[in-house]
Amino acid sequence: MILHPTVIANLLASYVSSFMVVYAAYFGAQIIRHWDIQSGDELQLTLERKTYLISTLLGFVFALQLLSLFLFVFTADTLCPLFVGAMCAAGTLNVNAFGYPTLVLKIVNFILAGLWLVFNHADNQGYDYPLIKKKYLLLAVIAPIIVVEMLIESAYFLDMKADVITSCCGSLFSSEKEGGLGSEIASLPAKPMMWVFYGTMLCALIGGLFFYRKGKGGYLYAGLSLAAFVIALVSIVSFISLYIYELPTHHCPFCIIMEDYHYIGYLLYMLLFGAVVSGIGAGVLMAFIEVESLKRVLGAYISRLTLASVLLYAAFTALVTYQILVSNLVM
Amino acid sequence: MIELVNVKKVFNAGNPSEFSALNSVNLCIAENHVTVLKGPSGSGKTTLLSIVGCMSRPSAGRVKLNGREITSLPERFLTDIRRKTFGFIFQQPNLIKGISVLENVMLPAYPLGEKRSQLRIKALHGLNELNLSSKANAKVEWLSGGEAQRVSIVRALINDPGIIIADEPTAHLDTKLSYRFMEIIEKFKAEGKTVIITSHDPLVYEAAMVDRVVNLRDGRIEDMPA
Repeated sequence: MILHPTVIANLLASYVSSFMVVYAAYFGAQIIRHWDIQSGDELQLTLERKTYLISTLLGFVFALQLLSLFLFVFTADTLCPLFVGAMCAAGTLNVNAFGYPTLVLKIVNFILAGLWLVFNHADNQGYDYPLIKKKYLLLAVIAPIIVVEMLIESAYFLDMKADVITSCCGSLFSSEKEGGLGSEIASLPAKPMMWVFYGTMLCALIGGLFFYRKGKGGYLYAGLSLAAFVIALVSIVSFISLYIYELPTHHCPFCIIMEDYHYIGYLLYMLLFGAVVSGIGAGVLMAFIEVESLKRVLGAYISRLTLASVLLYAAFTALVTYQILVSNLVM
Repeated sequence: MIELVNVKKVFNAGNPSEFSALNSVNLCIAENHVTVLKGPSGSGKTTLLSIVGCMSRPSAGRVKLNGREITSLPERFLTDIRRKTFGFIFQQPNLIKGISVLENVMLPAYPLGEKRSQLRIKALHGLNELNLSSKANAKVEWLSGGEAQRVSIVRALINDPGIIIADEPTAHLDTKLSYRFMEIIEKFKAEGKTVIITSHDPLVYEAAMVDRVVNLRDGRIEDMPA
């Protein structure tokens, strides 16, 4: 293990999140089994009191979970000078077999934690805990994934050895290298990918605005949001990175978070992750629009989420377009 | 109408000091009536009043307000009901020292966001109703016991609540002021408000305007509600 403040911060955040989420999931199991709003039993009243506390604490834990994705990437970027061959976070994540799986789990948990926060906020708008069982069912899904993430993240950090020679991002995300997901995405042709990117973003923005104005097509927009998110991630590797680095062969999705590129990667990823969580959240909440206690408030909340998602995707697309226009790279 | 169904309240549950303040209380409190909760010290009057007024939650049982179940409500909904539905008059006036009588009266209305100029007119009108106009700008430290009690009544009415809750309101008043207090209660009743008072003062529970007296002992209602 490398004793670095960021490593300790990552592990502590992971252990705190896991402990709290497991405890909350145990409590959630009681809610799922025993919750009956019509009952005046002592147990029911205890559950009502406790859920208020637990969901408030979980709000903070999941906010920490959202931040932990960026902290993890920042840590990988910070540690790269310690490993021979690593030029950025891409190399650090490759020092053992657990780096990239941790990153994938952190991305999945970011979206799930964000959705839980969206659900929780919606649930708090109703006077009769309208989404309480769904909220804790979602928690029951998230909790094991967060525990697995904690275990793999621990294995990653505890198994880090400074004498490991790792690969640089030029090798991991090379269009010339055969094999590996990074290389396969990097070798996608840039021009067609650009059409796919702008086409998907246009569909997502039109779908989002239609949903925002008419209140119809929520599920479609949730799907478009997810598609736009995936396409945007692929596009960063395929062609967006090329314009930012002004190099026709450098596809790394991590170097863009470095100071040399004005940390623009953080902004791009924040816009993208914010957009996908609010977009999927808005669509999924449509399933509960007819719930009696949410009728008056849920529509406005879904509208706000949709607008936020559309604006974030629009900002992401605008930022990418600006980078392409000001870039000295000619493809 | 306020309906209590099988309400229990246990303090320090599971500890050696566990104390059961209310045991399976079933009670209906009618609208536009004056109801007195009577009983010796420790009988559960104040606990029951605090549950009815949404200031605390029961350990078991439900409370319904005009048919709507309120014990399960999340805190922010409960705060809203407490703020708009109930006016509280305590044994002590509990006025805030250092600020004027008028500011004390206006204070509970601030969270509702009413325009300050309108609020001021409403507060001055309330003070005038209880002959306290001349004291509006006085500091509360300068008030007599009776005046302080009346200021606390005006404060309880500032949000125009439908239900007035008074916990031992005459405990620190002399006979004359107690009669004056009951006159004010009669006026509330005439205005269509529901009044719930806890007291073991005969001057209160034997008053003519009282519609119903509920006897409490050891956390239970002694006689069944009519």
